[in-house]
Amino acid sequence: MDVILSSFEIFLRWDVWVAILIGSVGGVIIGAIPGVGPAVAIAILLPATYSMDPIIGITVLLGIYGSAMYGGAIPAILINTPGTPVNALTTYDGYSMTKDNKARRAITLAYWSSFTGGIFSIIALIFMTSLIAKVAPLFGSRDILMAALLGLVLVVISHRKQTVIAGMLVFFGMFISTVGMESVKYTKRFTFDQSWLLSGFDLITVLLGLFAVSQALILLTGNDKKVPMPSLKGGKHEGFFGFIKYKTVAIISSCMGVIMGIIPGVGEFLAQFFSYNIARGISKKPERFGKGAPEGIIAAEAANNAVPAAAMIPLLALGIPGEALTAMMLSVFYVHSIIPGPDLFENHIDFVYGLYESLFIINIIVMIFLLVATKSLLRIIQIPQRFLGITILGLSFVGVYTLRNSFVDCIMCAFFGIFGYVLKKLDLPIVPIILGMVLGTIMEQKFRASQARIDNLFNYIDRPISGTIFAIIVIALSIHFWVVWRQYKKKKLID
Amino acid sequence: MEKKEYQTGNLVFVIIMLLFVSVLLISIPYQTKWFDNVPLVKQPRLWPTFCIVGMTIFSVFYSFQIWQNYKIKGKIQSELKELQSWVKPFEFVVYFLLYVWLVPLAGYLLSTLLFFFLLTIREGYRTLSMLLISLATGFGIVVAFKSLLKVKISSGAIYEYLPDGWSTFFMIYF
Repeated sequence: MDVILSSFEIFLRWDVWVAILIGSVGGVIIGAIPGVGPAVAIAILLPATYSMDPIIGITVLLGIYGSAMYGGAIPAILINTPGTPVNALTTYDGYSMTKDNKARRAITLAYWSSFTGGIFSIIALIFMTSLIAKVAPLFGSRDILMAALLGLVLVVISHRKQTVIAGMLVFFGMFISTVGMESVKYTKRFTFDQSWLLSGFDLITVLLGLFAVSQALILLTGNDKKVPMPSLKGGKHEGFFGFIKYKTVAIISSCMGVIMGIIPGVGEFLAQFFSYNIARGISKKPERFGKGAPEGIIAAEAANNAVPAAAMIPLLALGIPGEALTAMMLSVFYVHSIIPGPDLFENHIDFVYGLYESLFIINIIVMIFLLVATKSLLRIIQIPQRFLGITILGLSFVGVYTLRNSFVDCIMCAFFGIFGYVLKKLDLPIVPIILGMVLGTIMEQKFRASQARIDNLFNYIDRPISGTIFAIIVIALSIHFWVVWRQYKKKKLID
Repeated sequence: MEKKEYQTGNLVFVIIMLLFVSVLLISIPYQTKWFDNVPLVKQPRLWPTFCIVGMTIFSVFYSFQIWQNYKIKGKIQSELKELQSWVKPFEFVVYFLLYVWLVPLAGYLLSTLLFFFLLTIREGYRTLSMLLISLATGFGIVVAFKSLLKVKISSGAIYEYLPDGWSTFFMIYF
């Protein structure tokens, strides 16, 4: 309790409040603009946060991460275009309600559900932190190696209908993390005698290219869509009372968000998918789902917003990011010499609590901001897409050039921008590359570090933790292959 | 094997990826070192080889998947058309790199204003209001990042030609 109270001291600082305000309000605005999203914003802002105090830099990014999905629900409900990719499920019931002149009700439902998900996950995590602090130090090299492997396996199999290409891109990400000088024998790997490849591919450069520059190129080469000024109809209070009526759905979905958030490599998509199906299963009118069911919006939004806080658990406890956004945050931790892992919970627990409290305040500020400023936010949806592309390209320059003022970095970033552009055009996933890059580095380090205790391959899984994680990997893969096999048989029967 | 509806361009993509992994596979002995009397796990060659072999296996599987789907729905003309569309963004990449090249010479402020102004015209927004909004956005970005957040961007060579006081002011803030 003393630790929790002492961690509140950071909120006596004015700069922490400014960071919270910028992060939360900025996150909502970014989330409400279709075509930008938190990944682009965080990738651009990352280098700028390097010069800030760690808690300030991380709070700004946490603010964007935790609040973008709130904003993303607005265009999803009003114009059938999700602000962030994870708001896609909200369009099903949200836009149907808008067509029935219940836009205001749908938006209010989304806000309260997001708020419940966000706050629920933070409270759950604050109570779980003492348990995590006890469990995290038990993780050795082999356990972290297995946890990283689990993250990669889950990332691949969670890309339904794209597992093969996701697998290839994971290995591609792992490969590019090996380029440059290796740290054991100090030999060059795949540098092709080019001095600019000696330091390898910088994660931020790759991130900016794949997320920001590629998105700018997509917008610049596309056409502007004429978006009519959406109008808000229906009662605000009706939405709140509708939310109260379905509070069980909100709580179940928040639980699902927390569970899915903790598992590395899974994230918002599966959390909302499971929550939506559970909500439909327990609904008295399941036939309404997809046609304007309030429970559909509640399930999707509560689950989405419960994930960011939960995703911080594997990141903070083990240093394992579960998705692209937490992978970006990991780089901020490293820059400030804060090494996520068991040590963080033993020696800097007040920092961890400080982050959770910041997230808590961010959720409250976002909720107040949205209740007051939704009408003004509607104008943002109308910003021309190609103009957004110019702005993102201009901002990408700041992100990549401030790293080392290097022209080569910018060329690399542009190269990955084109690669990301092609992947997006082909509807192929980008996240596996980033996770492959980050988790691949961790796996190589832990693989080498664990050698002193290894006589045979079985030694990797003979510890209780690593053995359990390995069992989860085997179960996850078995379920995946069983589902694929069933689909194949079913299709063959139909043919 | 799971099937996703065929997306035009995938055949070209998978051919490029297969060529890429082939080059990497051939390069392993030349681009990584192998030490005698050093355990396998400490060999610098081990991890990149593992990644490339993994990439190769998945690439081969993916090419089978794509080829099956291509036979049903694909057309070579549309593949080539898609390839042409991949060239489109190179124009903007050139503008981006010109902008990067210009910053150390003309300074961050002037380069950014030029970049925003010219790209706005290139994108077809030619009304006075859009041009002013574009310049204001560029100026706002420079003030936010260089003047307020003090990010490290090299100052422009052009600033040295300004009077002493102005020169220092522009070097620090713009």
